[in-house]
Amino acid sequence: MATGQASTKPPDANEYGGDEISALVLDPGYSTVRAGFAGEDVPKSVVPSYYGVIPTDSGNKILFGDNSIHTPLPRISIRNVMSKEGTVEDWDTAANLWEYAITSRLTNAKPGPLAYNGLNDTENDDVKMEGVEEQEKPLRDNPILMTETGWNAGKDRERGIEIAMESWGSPAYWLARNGVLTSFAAGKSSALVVDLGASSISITPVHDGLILKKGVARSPLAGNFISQQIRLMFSQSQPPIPLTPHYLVASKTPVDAGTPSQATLRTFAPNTEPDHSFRLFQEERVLTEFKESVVAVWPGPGRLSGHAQSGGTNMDIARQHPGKPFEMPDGWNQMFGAQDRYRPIEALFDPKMALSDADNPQPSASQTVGALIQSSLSQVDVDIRPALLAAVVVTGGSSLYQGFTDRLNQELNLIYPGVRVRINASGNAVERKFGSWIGGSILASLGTFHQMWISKKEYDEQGPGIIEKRCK
Amino acid sequence: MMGSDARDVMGLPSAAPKATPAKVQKPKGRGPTGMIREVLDLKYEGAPPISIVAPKFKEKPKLPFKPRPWEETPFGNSARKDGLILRHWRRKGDVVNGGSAMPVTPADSNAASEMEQDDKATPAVPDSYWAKYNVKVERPQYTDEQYETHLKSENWSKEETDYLVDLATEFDLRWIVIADRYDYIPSEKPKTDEDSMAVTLQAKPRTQEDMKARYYDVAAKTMVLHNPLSSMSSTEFDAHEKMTKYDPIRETQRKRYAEQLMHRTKEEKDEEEYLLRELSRIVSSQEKLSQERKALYDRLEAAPSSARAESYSTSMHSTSQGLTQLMQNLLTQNKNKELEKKEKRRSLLEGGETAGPSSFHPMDRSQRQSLSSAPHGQRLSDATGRRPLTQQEQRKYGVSHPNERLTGGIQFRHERITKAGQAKSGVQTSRIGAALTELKIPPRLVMPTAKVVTEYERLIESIKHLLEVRKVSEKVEGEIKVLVAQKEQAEAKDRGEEIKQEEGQSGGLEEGETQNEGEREGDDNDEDEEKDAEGEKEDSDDEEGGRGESENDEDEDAEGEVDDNVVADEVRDLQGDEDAEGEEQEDEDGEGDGNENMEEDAEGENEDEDAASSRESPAPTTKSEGMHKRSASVMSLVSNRSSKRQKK
Ligand SMILES: Nc1ncnc2c1ncn2[C@@H]1O[C@H](COP(=O)(O)OP(=O)(O)OP(=O)(O)O)[C@@H](O)[C@H]1O
Ligand SMILES: [Mg+2]
Repeated sequence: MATGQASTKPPDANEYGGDEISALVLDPGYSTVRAGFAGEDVPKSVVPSYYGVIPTDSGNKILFGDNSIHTPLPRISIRNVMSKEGTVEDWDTAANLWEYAITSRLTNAKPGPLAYNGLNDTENDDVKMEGVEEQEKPLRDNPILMTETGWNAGKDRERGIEIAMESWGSPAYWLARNGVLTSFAAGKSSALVVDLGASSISITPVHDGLILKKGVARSPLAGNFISQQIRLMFSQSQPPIPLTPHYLVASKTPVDAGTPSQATLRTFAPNTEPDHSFRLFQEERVLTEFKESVVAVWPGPGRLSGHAQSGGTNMDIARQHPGKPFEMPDGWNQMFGAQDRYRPIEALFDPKMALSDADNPQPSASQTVGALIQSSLSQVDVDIRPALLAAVVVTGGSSLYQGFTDRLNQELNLIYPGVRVRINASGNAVERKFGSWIGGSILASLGTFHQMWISKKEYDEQGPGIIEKRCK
Repeated sequence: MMGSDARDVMGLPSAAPKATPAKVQKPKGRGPTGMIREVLDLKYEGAPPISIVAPKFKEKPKLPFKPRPWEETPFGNSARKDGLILRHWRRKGDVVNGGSAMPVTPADSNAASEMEQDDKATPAVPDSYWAKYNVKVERPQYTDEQYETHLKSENWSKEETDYLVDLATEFDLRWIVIADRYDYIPSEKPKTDEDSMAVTLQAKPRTQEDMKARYYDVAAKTMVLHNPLSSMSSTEFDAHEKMTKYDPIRETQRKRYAEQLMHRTKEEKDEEEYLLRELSRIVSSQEKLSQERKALYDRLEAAPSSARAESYSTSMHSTSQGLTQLMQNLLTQNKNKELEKKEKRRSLLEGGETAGPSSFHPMDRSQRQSLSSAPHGQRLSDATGRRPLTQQEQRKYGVSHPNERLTGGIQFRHERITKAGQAKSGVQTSRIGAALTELKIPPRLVMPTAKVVTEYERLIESIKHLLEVRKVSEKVEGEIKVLVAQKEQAEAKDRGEEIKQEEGQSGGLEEGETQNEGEREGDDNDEDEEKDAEGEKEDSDDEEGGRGESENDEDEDAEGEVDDNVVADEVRDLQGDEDAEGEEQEDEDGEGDGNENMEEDAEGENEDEDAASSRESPAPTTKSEGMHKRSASVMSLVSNRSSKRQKK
């Protein structure tokens, strides 16, 4: 009956091998979109998912890439192609952004036949141009593997193949869940993937290389939330800590810790001021810097709000931990005590510790990492729960906080005292950030994956609905 | 620099065409310092140290192969139905992947023709190496009719069954995934009964167990439909068995337990861990124990090493070769031992007759040590970790530690049995045999274990004693009768009537028997009786026997002779040496000699036996026997005297 069951005999070493077909892997995320050739270690092209819009008389001018969106161009506003959910929102711009990400670094724009390269244009011959178009599509030689979130559903799943097949002319396409790919990158076919990105934390149970949809759990307590917590911490501290992004600072002089900054701020001529969204985006960069250098996870035992066994609160103990200095772009600087360093991220484990105001309500208890894992596991078969807990794969940029994995381990051991929990997190920050891309790179370069691709022909015959049938 | 210097000195034109390259070359590589120049001058004795090196580009490496360009090679994949052509980089001229072109078989013609329609496709693109990994689960096939007749279920509509079977096939029976993706939406029924159906048709929530149960049921039944049980292969049958045995209720229960297990508290977990540790500890120690036991058994079963050849283990002598070797050993040892024995006896006699068996212990031990190195062996064995046998094991393996006389050397039990049953005289032997048959003991023991044989020997011993006693009692009775008769005769001289009366009484039943016995004994000559005596002495130190013997003797021997005997014996013991040599002859002589040599014979035989087989000291027994003999003879003397007195 079960002829499809894997044989117990190990395959010949030769049979593991990759067989690269110049496939591209495209992994869009809320903060960045990662693109690169399958078979490579890291994505060669990492482009912000944010893009700049400059309103002009003849419509909006759209800017992509780090080089242009950080320049305070007149009236520039910053938008993101992704929704707050972490799924693609603005498909048209996204398609252009991705194309930019691919063609700017990976493939060149294909030169057309000389007769039609524009230099020899005499008069417009529409019929001929039609035929040429096919040739000029940027990815006509590259199969493309795209990633999606575990909760991506419905028509959104079909948009990718439409873009790839119709605008880019790809010969083949595949859509994979990023959780599954992350587990591949960790060398596991079954795993519980904990992804802390910018927009959301997501838990993805993966079994035998297939996502268990009912087990997918997510909450918005990720990078953006932590940024918000830091903002609240800054604004609620006495006196409030000013947050001035780099572009506003024309010059600065060093000041003592805690004293107001002495910097000359840049001024913009009326009507050339960048949009508020530009300022927020630039502030975000400062916050990411702050996250990377200052914020850390309370190492436990217990929670930051809890009481230590030796008496006293953990908060008191935290105060004795070493602090870290941080200097704002305008020169303001201060030593941040450990209680402040632990504070912005504690809400991921303990919602009561979240800072809140009118616009930012406190998260619910079901949104913490522990609760998410618990609810995810409750949706999968009992038989595989211990196996999943023994293969917890942590990925995503927001998992890079110092002490995060240890704390997660503690939390899980508290929830499941009787089960062996093993956390699998790459020590390499690049691998952690690009986990799902790397998994895609592995998958798309496998010889055995050749038969999986959805070909242009299949797409032409069955339409975009083929995604539902094939990419389960 | 050097070149130009030299040229300056020699007045040569400075820009010689050959020198130029040297000039260029020099500063690059090995521009000699002043020091080196001096050294070089010394070496070449003024020869101009000009090295002329023509300018040379780095040589083009000669590669043993021709460069082969990489080519972006298109290839197909027979596992695909759409004829997708992908490209990968391959060395020009390499055999691409599997090498085989895409097969265009009739079965594949569909795909092939499609492929040809594809403008990119070329008929001979090579097949992907990986195509062979496209394996799929077989879908259970059933027709509508078959479904109606065999597979109908109250719980499952055909539609949902189809959905389930499709899904199961799709996910290759990964039930966890199937249960995760299961999302059956009942299709709209025809519009006529839409209202009624819309309410009733609600997708039932299905657990993984429900799905499995249904699928296995369907799959098993279709399997039988396509291939009756009788003609199934064993693997098919196994699969069928497994599917029919699936019990969803038990599975659900098991999962409930599993879930409970996951939510154990820390304490419960710790306790369980502790118990598991204990268990593993117990198990491991038990393993160790059984291993040790096994090692012991191995050791017991293995042939003893040559170092232990001297020990009393008989197992090594179980082969004929071993036996002959043993014989050899014993013969050589005999010589030594005989000497020792003589020594011993002499010292014993010197030590005085009063010295009991105990006085032999030191000798005994030293002898053991020297001859068998048994204590040494013991130490050795301790070193190798052999543990001493328990009482029970000793009994089991027939190990004994005789501190008394040991019939030396190897000895087979069956020999002991036959020997026990045989007395010196044929008459005695037959009598013992008769006694045994009377006791219903077979002449050949059924189960001659060590214990049984010992008992058997004891029995024979008792029989012999009883026979002796009977003989004696008969004789005494006979004597009494004779004496009474004499007395009566003497009295009859006074009163003739009374004698006749007495005779009439003795002619009764008892009298007749004894007389018979007496007659039989009478038939046996002296030699026979001597043999009897010897047998007794050999086997036991029975005083009664001795007495019987001596009384027996007494009939024929004069009082003086007996006295002489004792004296002679003592003298001989003192002389000692005589015994040691030519025992056999002495033995025979003794037999021929009759009474006079009786004691000597007895002793001689004992020694004979000892010499033949034993390394163990025979001294104590010999001595004690000698003592017994002596005491026996003394007693017999006494009795003789008394009887003579009586006679007188
Ligand atoms: N070293 C770091 N320490 C802490 N946070 C970091 C670090 N590096 C990046 N981040 C945060 O990680 C987030 C980006 O992570 P990642 O690239 O995994 O997200 P994404 O995949 O683009 O988003 P999403 O998964 O939500 O679509 C940002 O919020 C950034 O601030
Ligand atoms: Mg991500």
